[in-house]
Amino acid sequence: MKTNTKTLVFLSLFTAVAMVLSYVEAILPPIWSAVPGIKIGLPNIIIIFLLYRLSLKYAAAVSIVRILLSALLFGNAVTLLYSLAGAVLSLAVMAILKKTDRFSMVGVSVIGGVFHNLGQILVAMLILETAEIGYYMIVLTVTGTLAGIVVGILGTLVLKYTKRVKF
Amino acid sequence: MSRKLRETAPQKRRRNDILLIFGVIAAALLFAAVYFATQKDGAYALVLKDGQEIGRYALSENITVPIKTGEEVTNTLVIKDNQAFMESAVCPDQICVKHKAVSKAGQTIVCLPSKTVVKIIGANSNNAPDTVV
Repeated sequence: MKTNTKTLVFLSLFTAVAMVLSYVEAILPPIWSAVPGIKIGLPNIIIIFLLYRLSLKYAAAVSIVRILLSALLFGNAVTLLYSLAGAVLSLAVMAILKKTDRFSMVGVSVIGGVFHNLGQILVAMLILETAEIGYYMIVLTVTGTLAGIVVGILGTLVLKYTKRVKF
Repeated sequence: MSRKLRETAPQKRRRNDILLIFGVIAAALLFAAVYFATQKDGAYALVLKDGQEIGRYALSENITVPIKTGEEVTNTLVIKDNQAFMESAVCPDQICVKHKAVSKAGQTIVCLPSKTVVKIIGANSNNAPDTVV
């Protein structure tokens, strides 16, 4: 379980990049204002890249540090809870799907996107104590799928162009 | 499909991806079909502020309801043709104004800045004061 200095530096770098991506996403205008919460999930490019290039352990570490720092800087305790639920569920499902080796990064990322939304909706149901918002999942499944395709394609490109970099 | 492959070929992965995407979309559509098939028409529009009911209006009437936050009128709710929608709001994001008109039991329009929720209920559904943030 030894992480060498070089890996540590790369992980810090990727955390910073993921944070910049979540900031960029936060200042972008909402995609469809009638349904709040539709996002491409740009930071997930970094997370899925780390999942493929390094390991689940490092992907999870960067994801959680990114979320804690983002919540500290731009969010609050409630948004932290939403983000954590989405990220943990999404990464867990992506790791399982990757392990089956049946899908490309796009397929894995699509499932990640859908489960990210599902995790957030489940937390929203718990916090608001209402099941009625479950219907948001209809829209969010479709948008999560589209977002997952975008993230999967971008992640594939990042993986391709960083092949020669040694971590 | 059931035989275990050590390394899945890229074309096969792509095909699996497409199957997966269609599967997910099909699941969403199925969920949507069940949801819309079981939806009931609403009878009243409730106005909730901080989770407390401050007004109840029958969808059968055609009225314009100013919603106050303190002394200021922050939102205007309009009920017309058995549908309720937010005509105006003083907040910058205008999410509640852009929200489509609601008429089915359980549908809501949420205005976060003024902590106002417009909720449609059926003729005999109870209204537990469930808070919507």
